[in-house]
Amino acid sequence: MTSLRGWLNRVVSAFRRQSLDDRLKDEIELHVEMATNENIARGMPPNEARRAAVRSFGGIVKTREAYRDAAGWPALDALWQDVRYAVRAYRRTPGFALVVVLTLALAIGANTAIFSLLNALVLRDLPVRDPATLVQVSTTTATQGESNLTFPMFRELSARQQVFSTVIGAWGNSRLTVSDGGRVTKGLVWAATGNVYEELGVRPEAGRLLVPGDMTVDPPSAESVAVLGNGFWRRHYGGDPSVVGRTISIDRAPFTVVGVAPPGFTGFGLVTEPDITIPLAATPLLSGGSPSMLATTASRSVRAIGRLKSGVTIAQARANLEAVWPAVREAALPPGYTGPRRSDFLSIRLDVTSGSNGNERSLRTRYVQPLIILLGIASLVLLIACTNVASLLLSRASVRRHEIGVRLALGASRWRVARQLITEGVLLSLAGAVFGITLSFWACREITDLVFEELLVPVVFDGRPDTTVIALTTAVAVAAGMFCSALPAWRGTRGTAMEALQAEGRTFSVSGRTGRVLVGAQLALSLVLLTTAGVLVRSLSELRSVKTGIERSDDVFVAYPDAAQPGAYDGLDNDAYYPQVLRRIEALPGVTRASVSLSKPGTGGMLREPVVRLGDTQDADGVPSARSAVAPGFFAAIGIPVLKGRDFEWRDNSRGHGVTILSQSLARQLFGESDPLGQRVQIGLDPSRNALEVVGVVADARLYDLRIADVLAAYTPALQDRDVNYKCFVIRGRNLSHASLKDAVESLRTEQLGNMVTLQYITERSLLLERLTAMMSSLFGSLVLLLAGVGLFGLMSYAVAQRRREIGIRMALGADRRRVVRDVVREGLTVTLAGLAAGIVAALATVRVVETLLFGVTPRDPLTLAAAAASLVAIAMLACAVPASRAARVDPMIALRGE
Amino acid sequence: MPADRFDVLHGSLALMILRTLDTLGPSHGYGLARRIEQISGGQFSLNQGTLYPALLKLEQEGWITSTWGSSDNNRRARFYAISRTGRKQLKAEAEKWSKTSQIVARFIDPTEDLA
Repeated sequence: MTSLRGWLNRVVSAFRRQSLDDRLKDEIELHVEMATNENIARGMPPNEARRAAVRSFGGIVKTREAYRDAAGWPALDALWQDVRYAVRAYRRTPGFALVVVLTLALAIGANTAIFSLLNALVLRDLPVRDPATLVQVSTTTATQGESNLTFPMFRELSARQQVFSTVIGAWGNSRLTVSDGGRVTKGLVWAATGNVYEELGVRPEAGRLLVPGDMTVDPPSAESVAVLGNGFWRRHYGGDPSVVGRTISIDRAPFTVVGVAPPGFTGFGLVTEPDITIPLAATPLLSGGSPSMLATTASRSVRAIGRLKSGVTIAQARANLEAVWPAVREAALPPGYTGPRRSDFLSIRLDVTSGSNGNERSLRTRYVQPLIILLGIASLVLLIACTNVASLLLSRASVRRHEIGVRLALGASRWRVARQLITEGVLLSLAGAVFGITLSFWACREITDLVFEELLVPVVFDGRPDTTVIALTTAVAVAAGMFCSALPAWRGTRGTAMEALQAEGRTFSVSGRTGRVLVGAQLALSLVLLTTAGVLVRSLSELRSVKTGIERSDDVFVAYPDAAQPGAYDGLDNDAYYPQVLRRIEALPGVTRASVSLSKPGTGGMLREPVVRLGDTQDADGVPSARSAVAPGFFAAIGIPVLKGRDFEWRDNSRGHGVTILSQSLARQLFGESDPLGQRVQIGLDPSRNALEVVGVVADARLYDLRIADVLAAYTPALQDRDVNYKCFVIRGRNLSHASLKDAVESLRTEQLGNMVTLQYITERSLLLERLTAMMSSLFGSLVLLLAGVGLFGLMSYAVAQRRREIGIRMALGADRRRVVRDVVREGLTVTLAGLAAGIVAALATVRVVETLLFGVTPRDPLTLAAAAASLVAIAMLACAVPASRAARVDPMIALRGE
Repeated sequence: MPADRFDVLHGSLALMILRTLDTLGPSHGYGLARRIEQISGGQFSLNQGTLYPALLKLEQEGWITSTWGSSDNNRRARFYAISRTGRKQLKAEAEKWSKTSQIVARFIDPTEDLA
C-alpha cells in the first residue's frame, strides 16, 4: 500500500508535525460540532448532545497517535526520541561525553585532513571542461630524467598523431619581471597555444582570451598579446576592466593586454595561477628573440596535452603516439646535432599519462606515498580510538545495567534497547566528526602553508575538505559510531530482564572478559603505531646527524639576486662584474668569504651529467655525477676543504681555458691511485666541456641531498657557464643583515637582492617531508599512548569497583594491603603484556610499509620496538596505580556492610 | 507498533471511504462518517475518530484530495474528493475484495462440500 510518493510525503510531514496536529484539531472540532448539532436537532439537550458526539468520535489521544503515524514515518520519530534520550543521558555525564568526543575528533580530524590533502593532490579533477579525456605527453631520457618536448617535437607530434582531436602546447611558469609604465613587479608567466582556453571551456572575466590565430611560428605574426590572470589583475589593477588594451612589458618585450582569465584558472597545475599568459610562439620574445627561433630549438620546454577523440582510450593513444614517435624524433632533430648528442637525442622516450588531475608530478612524487602512509597511521589511530570508545561504552553499559533491565522488564524489545545504545554511540561519533572536520580545515591550511612557504607567489592550491570529503567523513563517523557501540549494545542487552535487575550492584559483569580483550587489542594496535612513529622519528634524527662535510651551516648565507631593471644583464661583462660584486660583499662587517653558485645548494637543484676520463682508458659511459658551477672562494665560503691542487681563480673565466675540480670520491673512481691533477675529463655532452683540465680535488660533501652518501661531484667555473646571470650568492659570515647585503649588491646598480636564508634553513627545508611525517606520527603516538592509559585505567577502575566486596573479605581474612595492590597491578599487566605480545607480531609484520621513507634505520629496528613497548608498560603501570591504591584503601567493614 | 493497530481496519475502511466518495461526491469528514454508518445499515459502528488517520493516509497516497470549502451551514470545512488514481485504486481494490469475499464465502457456506 505504500508507494514512493506516500513515503516522501511522510518524510516531509515529519518536519511539519505542528501543522498536522492543528489540522486534526480543526477536523475534530468541526466533527464534534456537527455531530452535536445533529444530536440537538434530534431533540437532545445541548450538554447531552455534545457528550454523545465526543463519545461516538472515540479516543481523541488514540486518534492523534494514529494520525501522526499515518502522517509520519514511525522509525524517524523513534530515532528522534532516541537522540533526545541520548542527549539527556550525556548531559548527566558530560565528562565521559567530552573524553569520547575529543578522542574521536582528533582521530577523525587527522584522517579527514590527510585524506583531504590526498584528494586535492591526486583524486580531484582539474576544474576544466571534460578533464577525463585529457592526456599529457612528456619525455624521458636515461641521463637527464623526465622532461617535456621541444617545440619541433610538439609540432611534428601534433601533425602525425591520429588519436587526439586537439593538442595543446604549454610552457612555464617562469617568474619574470613585468612592468607597466613605472610599475615593476614579478609575475608568473605562462605560455600556451591559442586553442587552450576554448578547449578547456574557459570564459573570460574581461576582454577576450587567447585564440588560435593570435600568434604562430609560421608564418610569424607580429602582434604579441597577453591575458592577465584573475588574481594578478585584482592585485595590481584593482579589478579594473579598462586594463584591456594596455601595453605591459615582460622582460622588456612589449605585450598588449587583450583580456582577463576567470578566477580559479590554474592552467594544468594545481598550485599557482598564471599571472600572465602569452601565446606559446611568443616565448622567444622574452629573451630578445623571434618566434621563428622555436622552429629549431633543442630546449625541451613544451608540455603537450591532448584531447582524446571520442571512443579512443589512453592505451590506444599511447600505442599510436609510440608508433609515430621515431619519425617525430627524427624530424625534430636540432640542426648541428651529430655523434653522441644525436644518439642521445634519438634515445629520448615518450611518456603518455592521464591529464585529468593536472600536472604536479614532482609534488606527487614527493608527497603521495608519505600521505598514504600517514593516512594508514591515522586510520590506525581511528581504530584505536574506536576500541577505546567501545570499552568506555561497555563499562558504561555495565553501570547502566539496572536502567537497561527496567526497560527490558517494561516490555522493550532487546533490539529497541540496543538501538538506543547504538544511537548514543553514533551521536558521539557525529559530534566528534563535527569537531574533527573543523580541525581538519585548520590542519590542511597549516600544512599547505608550510609546504608552499618557499614559493614566493600566491598559492591557490586548496587542500581543504570539499563536499565529497565531508560526506565521506560523515559516513565513516557513523560507521565508527556503530562499530564502537555494536559490541556494548550486544553484550549489554544480553540476558533476561530479571538477571539484569538482580545483578544490580553485584558481581555481575558484562565488561569483564570482553573489556580485557578490547583493551588488549587497543594496546596491540598502539604498539604497532608507536613503533611506526618511532622509526620515522629516528629516521629524521639520523638525517639530521648526517655529516654533510659542510662546516657550521648556520654561518653560511644564501641570497638570490636578480636584474635591477629589465635589461640590466644585457652586455654585462661578468668576468669583471663577479669580482667586483663579491669584493663589495666581502667588505661588509662579519663576512669572511663570499662566492657564487649557479645551482642552489642544499636542494635537489643540481645537474646530473656523466664525467668521462679522456685518454688511454676511455670509458664511454663515464661516471654520473652532480655538476655545479661555482665561482672562486665557493669552497672556503661553504666550508669544503680543498685537498689537492687549487681552488678556482678569476683567471678561470670566459676567456680562460676550461678547468674543473673533482670531489675526492669522483677523482678516486676516475683515476684510482694515480694523480688526477693535470688530467683531462669530459663532462656531459656540451662541446664547451669536452676537455676540461682537473686543477683540484675537494673533500666530499653532501651538498645537495643528505641521503646520498658518496657524493660524486664535479665543479666547473661559474664564469665558464652559460647561465651566469641566474645565480645565488654563498656567503660565510656572522650577523650578516639582509639590509647591508642589499645595499652592497645594489650599490653597483646592476642587480637587486631578493631573499636571503641560511644554509641550515635550506637543509631543514629539504627535510620538510621527514619533519612533517615525524611530527604527525609522533603526535599520533602521544595521542595513542594517552588513549592506552585511559583505556587501561577505565578497565582497572571498573574491576576494582566491582570487586570491592571480594577485596574486603580477603582483607578481613587477613590479606595484607601490599598483596591486594600486587594482584590489581598483576591483572593490569597481564592484559598489557598479552596486548604487547600480539602487538609485537603485528608490528614486525606491518612496519615494513614505511621502509621507503626511512633513512639510516631499519623498519624492524629492535631498539625502537623495545622503547615503544617500554613506554606502553610505563603507561600501563601508571594507569594501574590509582585503581590499585584505591583497592588498598578498601575498608573491610564498609565494603562488607555495603551489601 | 501502533501502525499494526491501524492496518487491521485499514484495507476495508479505505475501500469504504473511496467507494463512498466516488458515489457521494466531495464530502467533509463528518458527512462521510455518517454516510458510511448509514450504508452499513448501522451494523458497522465506526469509531468515527479512526476515519481521519485513514483520510490522511489516502491523501498522502494521492488517492483523494482535500480542499477548504463551506458546509451547509456556512461553516468552513475540509472537503475530501476522490482523485483519478483513487478511482483506479478503488476499482482494483474492489475487485480484489470481492474475489476475497467470494473465496471466504465458499468456505463458510455450508452447502459447499469441502471434502
